[in-house]
Amino acid sequence: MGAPVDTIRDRLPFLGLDIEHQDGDAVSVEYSPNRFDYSTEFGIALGLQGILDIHTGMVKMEIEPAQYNMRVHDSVSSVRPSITGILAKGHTLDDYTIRQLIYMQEDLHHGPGRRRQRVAIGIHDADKIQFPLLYTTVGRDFEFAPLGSTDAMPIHDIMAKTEQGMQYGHLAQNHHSMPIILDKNCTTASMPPIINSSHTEVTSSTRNLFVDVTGFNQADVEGVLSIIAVTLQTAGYTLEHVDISGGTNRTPPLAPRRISFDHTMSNRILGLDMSMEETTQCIKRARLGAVADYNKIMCIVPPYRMDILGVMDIVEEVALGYGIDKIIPTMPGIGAAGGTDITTALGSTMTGLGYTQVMNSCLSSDTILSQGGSAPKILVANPKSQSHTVLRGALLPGLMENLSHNIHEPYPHRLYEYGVVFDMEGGAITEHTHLACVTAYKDSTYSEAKSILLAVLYSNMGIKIKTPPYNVAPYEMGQSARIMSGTQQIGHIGVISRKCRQAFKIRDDIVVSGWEVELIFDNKDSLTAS
Amino acid sequence: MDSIYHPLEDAIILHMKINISYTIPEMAKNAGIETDQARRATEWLLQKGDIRQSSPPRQILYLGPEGQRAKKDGLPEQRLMELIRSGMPPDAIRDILKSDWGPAVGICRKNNWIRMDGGRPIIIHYPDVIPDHTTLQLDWDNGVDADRVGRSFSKRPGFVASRMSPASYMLSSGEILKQAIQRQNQDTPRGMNVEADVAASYAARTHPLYDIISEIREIFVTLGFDEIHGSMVQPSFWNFDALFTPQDHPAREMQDTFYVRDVRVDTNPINPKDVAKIHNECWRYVWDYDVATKPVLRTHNTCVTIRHLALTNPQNARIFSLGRVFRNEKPSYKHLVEFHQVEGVVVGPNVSLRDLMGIQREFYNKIGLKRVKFWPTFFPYTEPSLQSMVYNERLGKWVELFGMGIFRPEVTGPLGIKGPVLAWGGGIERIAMMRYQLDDVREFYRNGLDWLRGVPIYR
Repeated sequence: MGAPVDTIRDRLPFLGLDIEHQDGDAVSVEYSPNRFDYSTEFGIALGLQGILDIHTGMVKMEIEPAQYNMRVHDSVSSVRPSITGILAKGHTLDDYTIRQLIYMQEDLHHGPGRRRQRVAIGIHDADKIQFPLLYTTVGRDFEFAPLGSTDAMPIHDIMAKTEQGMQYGHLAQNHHSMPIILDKNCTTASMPPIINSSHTEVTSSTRNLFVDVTGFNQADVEGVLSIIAVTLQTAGYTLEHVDISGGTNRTPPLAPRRISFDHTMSNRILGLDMSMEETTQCIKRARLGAVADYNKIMCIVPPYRMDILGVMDIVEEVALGYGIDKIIPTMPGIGAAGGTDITTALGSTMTGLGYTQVMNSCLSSDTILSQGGSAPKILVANPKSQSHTVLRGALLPGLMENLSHNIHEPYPHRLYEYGVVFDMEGGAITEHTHLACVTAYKDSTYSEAKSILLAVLYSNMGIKIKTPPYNVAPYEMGQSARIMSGTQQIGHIGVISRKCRQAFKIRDDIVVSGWEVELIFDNKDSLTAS
Repeated sequence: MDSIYHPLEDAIILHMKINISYTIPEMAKNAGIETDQARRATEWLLQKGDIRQSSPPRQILYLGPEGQRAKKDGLPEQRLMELIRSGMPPDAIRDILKSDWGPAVGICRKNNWIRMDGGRPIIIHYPDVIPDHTTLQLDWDNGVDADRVGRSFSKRPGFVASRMSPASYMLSSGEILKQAIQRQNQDTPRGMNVEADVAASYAARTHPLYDIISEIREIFVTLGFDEIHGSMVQPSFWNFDALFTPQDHPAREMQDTFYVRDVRVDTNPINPKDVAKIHNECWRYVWDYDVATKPVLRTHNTCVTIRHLALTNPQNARIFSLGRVFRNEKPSYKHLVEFHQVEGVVVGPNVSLRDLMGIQREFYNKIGLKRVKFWPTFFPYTEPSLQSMVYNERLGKWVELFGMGIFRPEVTGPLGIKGPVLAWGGGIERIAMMRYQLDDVREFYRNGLDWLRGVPIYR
């Protein structure tokens, strides 16, 4: 049984797989970080079987009883207490499939594994291992040959010299002793979460695999193990338990969970009207078990579905089983009218006065802010872009930068920006909305800037202002003023200094005014009254 | 249709008389305008056929220094003939004529007026008219048309100087003058060359991205949504913890999120113990309040909407929040460090996923995106979760726009929010890129006047 390529390609997005690109029959998909079982084509096949009605219901994990065992020594409890494992037998893998398994392992390390801190996985050639295994700790003088090396070396060398040791060594930096998996002959299989031994390396001739998963709690390690186990089973391996004991560890049951589900609730959430039987079918198409039982559905969730936390997750499975594309959108009735307190009045005024709006980032650079006369104060940690390192404390530097980029465009330039600037008051961050405008052309004057200021504040808003002298960067000495409304300073205005213009490589004269919009709006009554 | 006359054209016509030719400098002088203006107006009038060229530009001759002397003293050959006739001895004639003796003898012999007899000129035939004498009598002061001067005259060294005379023009008919006089007496505004090139003007305008933001705001208000606002710097609690994002989640790392250094931001948590409990249980770690106090530049606006819901706990609500969000990335043609998102929620006892899809479709429809479909996806704080795919006609492919879902019970429960909450959100720049047909999202923040002054406002 199978399905045509076109059908498969068309349905992939409805499993939650984003199509990255396609080339003929080859399709690259991106899976969501809640479905690590989709990190190989085996997992995706299981999902497609469901929504294409080829196989529905829960994928059963068939696990042979244990022949071998692994003991856990108490000493690991303080370093990396949890371990689980399983054998996968009787199959070989080609290079392509080995590569897929390695990618899955890497994805699990990055996702639920949190870069191996929470969970680390080792995959071994089981035939190189003499059971029983012992999970214990050893000192840093202990020697073994790590993966990629033929010679044994002490652990402190492995940490200092191998790529994995350098990359993941910090995860064990506080430990004197290191967790280690040893076989019957005291041969090292793995030193989680850093590196496997070269002794158990998997090749394309390996027939039997042993998988270990270590971490800090049973749920994490067993969850990750179950994803690997179902993938290996689907790939063609026979799974076999390994008896595990010691500390809080156990042989992983890899057993499904049961969740009681009310189909009327999912109908309400999804806006559908399905019977209990139809709902049951949808759940099964999502590869969960489901049995209708009186007025409830008993859902059976396989262990590898770590993403299912509760009933709402099953509602989504119902939707996926139903097919998102079959759900017809409905427009709910509009009750009361909506509203906003954002006004476009200032923007209209500025446009009317001939000023064009610009939009700059709140995150600016030290250089631009300093050149524009605004000391860089509030920094962000580890910025990737050198143009985005500090939160702006004023709009003017950005406007100067805009003028600087536009020197080849016909003059005059009249620009304004309306946006948030940042400051600190007693160590706490504050955000205020400002408006600033710049006028740049050969003969621009202070009078023009003041005239514009009066047009906005007085003619349009009725705010009486005074402009007492105020010498401050980046203005020319003796050519700038505070904008005062009564006793409150609401902004400043002036002629940009030659030095500042030179820093921005602008030849033409520039006049500027800027003021705090919130101050005007918040206090408008008191400001107009004075 | 009547022709349109420029004031310069009329100025020229009105200063011309019928059947009189005028050069351009003459017309300019008469009309009191610049020569250059007269030249332009003449071109226009020629095209209209109102004037015609009465004479082309031509060569005009004036008397040179030798010509001037000949005019005063007579032509050398004339003087020679007269002196011979007076019987003066040849030596005396030579003394008088000086350097003219040679050329004069040459001309007279060539015309067979004299013959030489051992250095003595003897008259053969005394001419009635010395041919070039007639030429010499022309009105040289005003210049003589080169056509009227024979080669024998103009070839004499120093006899003539020449210069080019401009073309001259004449009215085509008396009617032209009459119409110009009529136009002169009319009160109506005169026409002008409406097809001429002009200098560029630039309208001041709001930023194109701001226009889209305003449009989106208006659409949500029309759909019954109230706008709410929040700070850009948020405590991690509202940006992450309240939204069920575990504290060790990769999205919270400095690689992806901007943490603001050395500042405090009020955390204002709601039910932090319940939030801690759900994190501890579901994500199996020990939730740390201190981590939740770290100030971040918000990575989405959902922090604003969720806090509003937790504070007000409404039975029914339609809320949206619109503003800047931040991601610690290297900017590229498709990714910005700082961009705009709109996020909305609907609370109500009977709202469903279909309603959520319907609201999205309605929004897209109003913004002009007609082909919409929905795919399942994953977000940590919604379940079920969908993403909308919108067909980009220009690129000929489906592109991902807003994400949406129903807030997880693990989000709403600890915050005391009742009932299902439909939530969605997404970037505005992507929609703006489609509207303005841009391929590089950085264009919006370049603020180049070449672009800002040129973007069409209307679709």
